[in-house]
Amino acid sequence: MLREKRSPVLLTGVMVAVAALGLACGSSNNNKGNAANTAKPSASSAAAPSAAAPSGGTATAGAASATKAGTAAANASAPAGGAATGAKPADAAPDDQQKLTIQLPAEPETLDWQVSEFEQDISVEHLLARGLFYFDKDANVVPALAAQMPTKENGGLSADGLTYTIKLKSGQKFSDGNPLTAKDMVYTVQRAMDPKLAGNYAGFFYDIVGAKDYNTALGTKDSPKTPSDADLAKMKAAIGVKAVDDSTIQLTLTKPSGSFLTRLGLWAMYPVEQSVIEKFGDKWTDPANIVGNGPYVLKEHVEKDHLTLAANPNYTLDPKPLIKTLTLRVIEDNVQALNAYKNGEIDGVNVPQQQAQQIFADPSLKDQLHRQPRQETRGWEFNDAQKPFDDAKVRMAFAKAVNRDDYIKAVYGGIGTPATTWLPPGLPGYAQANESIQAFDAAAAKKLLSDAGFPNGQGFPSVSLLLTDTPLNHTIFDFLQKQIKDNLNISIGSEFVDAKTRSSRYSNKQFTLFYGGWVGDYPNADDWLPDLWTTGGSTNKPGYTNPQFDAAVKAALAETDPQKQAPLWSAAEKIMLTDAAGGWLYHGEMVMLFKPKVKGLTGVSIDSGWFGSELFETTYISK
Amino acid sequence: MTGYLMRRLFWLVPVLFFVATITFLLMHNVPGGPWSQDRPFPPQVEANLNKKYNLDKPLLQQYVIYLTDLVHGDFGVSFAQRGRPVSAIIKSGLKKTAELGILSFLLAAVVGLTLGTVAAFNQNGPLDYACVFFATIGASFPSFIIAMFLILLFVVKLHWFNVIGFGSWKNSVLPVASLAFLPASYISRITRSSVLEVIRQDYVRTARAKGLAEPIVDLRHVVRNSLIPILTVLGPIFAALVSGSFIIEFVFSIPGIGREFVESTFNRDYGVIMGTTLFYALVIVLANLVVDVMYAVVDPRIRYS
Repeated sequence: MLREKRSPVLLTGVMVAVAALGLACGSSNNNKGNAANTAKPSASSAAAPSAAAPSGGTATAGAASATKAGTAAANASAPAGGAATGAKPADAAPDDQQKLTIQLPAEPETLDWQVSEFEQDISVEHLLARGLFYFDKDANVVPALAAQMPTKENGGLSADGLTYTIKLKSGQKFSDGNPLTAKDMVYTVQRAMDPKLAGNYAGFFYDIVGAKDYNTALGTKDSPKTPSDADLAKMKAAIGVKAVDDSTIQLTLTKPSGSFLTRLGLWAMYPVEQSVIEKFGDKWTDPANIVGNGPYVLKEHVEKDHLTLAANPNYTLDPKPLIKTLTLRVIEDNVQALNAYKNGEIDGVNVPQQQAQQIFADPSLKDQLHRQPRQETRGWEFNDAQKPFDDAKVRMAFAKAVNRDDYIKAVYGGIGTPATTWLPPGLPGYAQANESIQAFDAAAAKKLLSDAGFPNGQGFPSVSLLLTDTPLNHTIFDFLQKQIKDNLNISIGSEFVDAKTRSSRYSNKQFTLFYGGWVGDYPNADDWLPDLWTTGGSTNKPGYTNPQFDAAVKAALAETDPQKQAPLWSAAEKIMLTDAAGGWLYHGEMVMLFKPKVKGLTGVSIDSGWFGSELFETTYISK
Repeated sequence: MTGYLMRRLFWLVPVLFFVATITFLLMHNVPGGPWSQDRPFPPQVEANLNKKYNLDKPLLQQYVIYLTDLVHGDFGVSFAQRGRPVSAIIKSGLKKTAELGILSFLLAAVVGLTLGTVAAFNQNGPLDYACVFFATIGASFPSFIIAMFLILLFVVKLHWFNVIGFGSWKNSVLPVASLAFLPASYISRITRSSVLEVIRQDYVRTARAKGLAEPIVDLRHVVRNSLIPILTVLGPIFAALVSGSFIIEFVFSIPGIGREFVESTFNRDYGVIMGTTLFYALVIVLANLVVDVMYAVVDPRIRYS
């Protein structure tokens, strides 16, 4: 799950803290614990931006909804003519005015792309380095460093679907001018799997031969292993990656996969230069040391304040970036970021939910508004092993009892779209036919509850919803509580805790009712269904189990042709939706304002960090 | 005096040790850890992280490792800012926070002392009411309400100042003013009552009776003698201001230590929790020491030996 690190500061919490503390010591702060702020993981409770991946058909769906919502559709459309090839658009301002300052909603955890997991990190890293593949505006995988997409027809993929042979484009360079060869890619893969580096996304590449053995070589706390350096070196060498020659890399998998090339496009596989890592160690990401191969280089990094990036003169891919200097201001408070935007301090800002309606209604801001659906789903999660939610009828009653349209308006200020499916629109495998299964229907919900033995809510045990203590989540709870009371005549309680407590209780299955969800890492449903919902999956905390669903997921995983795979995912999803493994309410959306002078922004469902971050090179300042 | 100072400074060691132990025990006993997330990492990835940061060792051993490193001046590293040394975080955070805190402290002290004194000398007059009004407003509104109000007026409406960051005058005025408001009103209230009390003392009447000029009576006899209770509160106020304001730093996007202090707790960022807590304890102890020394300076009856 792609995580959004942000400070959902609980001003309500802070208020209490201040009031309690305030007068006595004359200071308004220093509360050691009660001011609630945040934690890094996007507790899935906060509406977290991340990636959505319309491919093909869904891009249209996204655009349609944007238009409906009154957005300037032109903003989301393809960049001005010349931009795609890197030529300067006719209305672009001179180079010395190609400067842009935008909000970054949180400080990156690290800029080491083999370690990162947060959106903020990834959006910056994506400007500093590029992998073998990346994503086009419809979130399709396309070649970046790779000369072409490897297929069985062009010999890039072996007949058994296990060995990929990938040619690099010629003349590739790192930002320090050194050549980037297949050997660097081999080093990159090996480093990503290094157990001592402890990269957060290493688990995404366990299907490369030997990768899991190497990454798990140190064992766990309960069963520690102590391999010698020679053992580790041997395991590293055994990973199924090699440089056939300077411009050809070969990767071998343990089993065929339909999403492998997509995963090779992720940040964890962006190349690093061995000599730089070995020379600077942990300090290699300092502005003076860092070397990538992306359109930008890091000029300055003042932690929790700002990052300054400058166009990389040695960038070898196309299009070349049009913005010459990009400043990312770390501003965690969206409300103040909006004030800074209005005051002309920054050129791009996230729209806070509290002020969304007001901004949507303001005609003067219409051409500054940019909206993009994201790969994100939120809603009810149940403890399937415990009464009363061990009964699918009860779960479905909760799923059907919530009016999603009102929910999006009242809670999210109109940011986001109503959800009744787990797979978000745009993700291959999303099927409109599955929308009706959990659709809002108060009468049906009531009947289901009655069938489950709780007519009109009578005799229903007391349950409470576990949430992180943020202002947004209080609104979420207030709304859901009322819907359940009105439509099922059940009073649910709440438990507000800090993000880490909530996560820890979720991991240990200490919850009955939970507000959770998922933010996609990459545009393939194998990031959404296996493991999260299959029997015994390591992240299946609700404990959902259905052998039919497990079999359907297995069948989908076995299919590597994306065209044939998508309907198999839909079929699997249908089973878990029918069982109401969870009850889905909300699909995410990224909504930002950019000053009218900022042109060429191209929103993609996998944008992380800001609108247009994935295809940022086409952005420019107009005259 | 030197012996007294040495003794007080020596006491720092057990105080900090005590704070370190309590904090260490507390933070490891709250639910969740630095890697807790909604959807947990694959167990192996988490195991690698724990190994890398010594979190797979027994708690006692982790504590010994921490204390040993601490004695060698190593405060450990942050998890939330992966691998960044805690000492670097405190250093850069402290720089911003100290600038903000010292400016706010000076502003609060000057405004508070002036208003309090003026009010007392004009007791029950219009000036007194005006000062009391200010003090009541300042004491009743939390700093972030003041901050929001100032931002709306001076940034959004008038465009006089900036809302983001800290450094230039244009983006420093509002955070300093917002932060100084509460302590300024508090100081003015204490000053007013303290001055009022001293004004009625016999020695003030005596000073007047022996024909001293009014300004000399006011400054040398009234104001100076009313400083003692004020000094008592100035110490903690100073400590509070320079150790950071989470809210003001958050609202104005200032990368100060107050945010680290609070956010580290929520992130279970153990190294930063320890570092900032020890730092805060140190500031409190030193500020109290300075206040005690200042007593001796303003009141000749107080002598330490």
